Amino acid sequence: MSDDLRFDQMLTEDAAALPPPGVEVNPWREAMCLVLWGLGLTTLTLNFLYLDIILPAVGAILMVLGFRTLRRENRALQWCYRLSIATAAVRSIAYTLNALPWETGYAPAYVVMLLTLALYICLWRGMVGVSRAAGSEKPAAPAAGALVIFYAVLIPLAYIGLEGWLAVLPLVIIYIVILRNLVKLSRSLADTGYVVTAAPVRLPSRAVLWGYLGVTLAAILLAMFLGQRYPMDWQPRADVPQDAAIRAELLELGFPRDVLDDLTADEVAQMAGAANVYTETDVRYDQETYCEEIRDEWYDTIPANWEYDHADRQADGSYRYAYRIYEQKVCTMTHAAVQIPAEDGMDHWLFVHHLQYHTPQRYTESMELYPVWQDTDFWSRGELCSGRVLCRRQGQESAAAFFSLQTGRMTTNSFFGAYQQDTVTAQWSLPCRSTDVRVYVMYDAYEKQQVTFLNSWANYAGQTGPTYPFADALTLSHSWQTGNICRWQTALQKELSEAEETE
Amino acid sequence: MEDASLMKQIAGGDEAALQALLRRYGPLIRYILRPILPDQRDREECYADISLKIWQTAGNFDETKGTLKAWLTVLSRNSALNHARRRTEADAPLEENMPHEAGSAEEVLLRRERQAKLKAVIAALSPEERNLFYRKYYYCQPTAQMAAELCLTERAVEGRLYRLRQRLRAMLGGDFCE
Repeated sequence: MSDDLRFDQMLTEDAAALPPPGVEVNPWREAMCLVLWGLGLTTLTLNFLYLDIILPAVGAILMVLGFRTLRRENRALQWCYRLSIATAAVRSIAYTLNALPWETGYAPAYVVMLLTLALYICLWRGMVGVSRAAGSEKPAAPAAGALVIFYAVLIPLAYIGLEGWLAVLPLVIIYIVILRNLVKLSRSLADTGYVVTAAPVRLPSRAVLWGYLGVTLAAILLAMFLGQRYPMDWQPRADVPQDAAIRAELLELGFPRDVLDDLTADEVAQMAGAANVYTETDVRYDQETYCEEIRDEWYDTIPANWEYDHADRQADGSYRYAYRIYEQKVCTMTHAAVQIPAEDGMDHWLFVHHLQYHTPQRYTESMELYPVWQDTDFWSRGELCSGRVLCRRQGQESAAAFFSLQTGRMTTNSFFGAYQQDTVTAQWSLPCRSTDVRVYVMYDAYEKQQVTFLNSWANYAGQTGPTYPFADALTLSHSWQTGNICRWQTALQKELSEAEETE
Repeated sequence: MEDASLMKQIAGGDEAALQALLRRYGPLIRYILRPILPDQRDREECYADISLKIWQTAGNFDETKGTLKAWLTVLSRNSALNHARRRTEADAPLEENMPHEAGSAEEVLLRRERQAKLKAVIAALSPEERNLFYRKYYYCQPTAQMAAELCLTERAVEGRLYRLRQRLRAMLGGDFCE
């Protein structure tokens, strides 16, 4: 007999003198403990610090671990195990999809709901089976049955969007009471000597728990950092040549050449017969790259790339003024309005908002226009709404339609509360390592009466970092959130009488 | 029905009470027997012996000294080990309600010393180690069963048992290592 065997035999003999084990060796209690924690964590969630995702994910995998031990106890518990795996998988997929710009709607939630209901039914039948195996004269599991009824009632309430503490609090209390009764039922089965034969496992519990959470987290992070871009159909730019006569006419009226170069032949054709062109250009500079200029005099009017910084009082009582001069352009927005006279005097107008920049964002970007036709007294909406994204990638000029370009009602949350307005929105993403990016959106409007003022706004928003759950640049620009977003608002604002004199 | 009153009824000769007790605690008894007696026939025989023992000694049960579950655990474990010994005809049977104390007076004394030392050592173990100790040396569970119930691989259980054995050797020393 080997030394180890002799040692083991001696310990086995002497163990008889030990007090009866205080330690719980029956796997039933521990498995049910995991299941009950899982039930609690997947149903009652806290909506802060991502606990609405972390706790249900932990709960889902705890249920898998609990049912894994019990899966050979009876057929219903075996189904519980299968359903708990399916639920955990669907949850993991849903959490990953949350990080992507895909509209899944409520589909994952409905699937989880149905799987959970099926799981609760199987749990009820499984507990009844366990009660029978434990020698109960009238096998029953009323707490598990109550859980099924509770969840079946909860589904339609969730569907109709039950909200408010007064409505939700009683449900929470009922749920806690049911869970408490389930704990009692589980304990009573263990206390009466009921034991289960644990099913063998291939992976330790910790490996399953951390593996599931790790894989889910990795999938979410991958989706966040690599997947938060819109799919765009990039093609080498192959435009039909623009009508030379119209082009020449527009250039003569002062239409910016670099903007005109980016328009399609169809868009240029729409501007045939233009009488006037009004333009305005705004440049945005990198706020980190500047030089300081000290002057003895105060300037009421300073160039666009200058910014007053501070003043220093001199020994003689005079002041010296420090100005920052920004040198590195980040982007340039060119606005152009084209007036096409109509016979009835109510002219047709086309507006182009053209953005040019060199360092694209890695994620989503958007341009939201506040068109002139928001002022319904003077303007009526036209039919035109077009635009595209152009860039240079791998040495080739490429173009793509926007991921979305639409006119619709947007809700903005501001300091004064939420308000809605009709806007034109364009959303896009750019390929990696693209340069010389140009984006333009074009729309038209008709005069209702003689207009004296042009007021068309362009709001650029760029998503600067990954967000979870996914929120695109447009959504971020409409929220209070200040992280992961850069905004730039600029406008074409022209007094027509003055403008005409200037033109 | 409460455990104590059930035992009183059994002591008073109520067969239905014995059936009720076996219905309630039968799975626990079988759970204890299974690893010690791998053969089903042995288990059934031992189960019958335990039923008889309960019937005969129910009057000795004192609920102030411990729970019925603990009493049945000790009874089942010792009965199973005795049954296993009888099968192998290796040693004298254990007293079923008390620790095995066969041998000369000197051996008994030495064993008592060892057992006292073991009690102290077990108390000093962590809950996980104590759990593993009881499974291995009290319930005599095979590695596969421990792995399934602890949700570990067999390899992991073997590793833990190895470390536990090393620790016990170091803590116990003396007679245990001879």
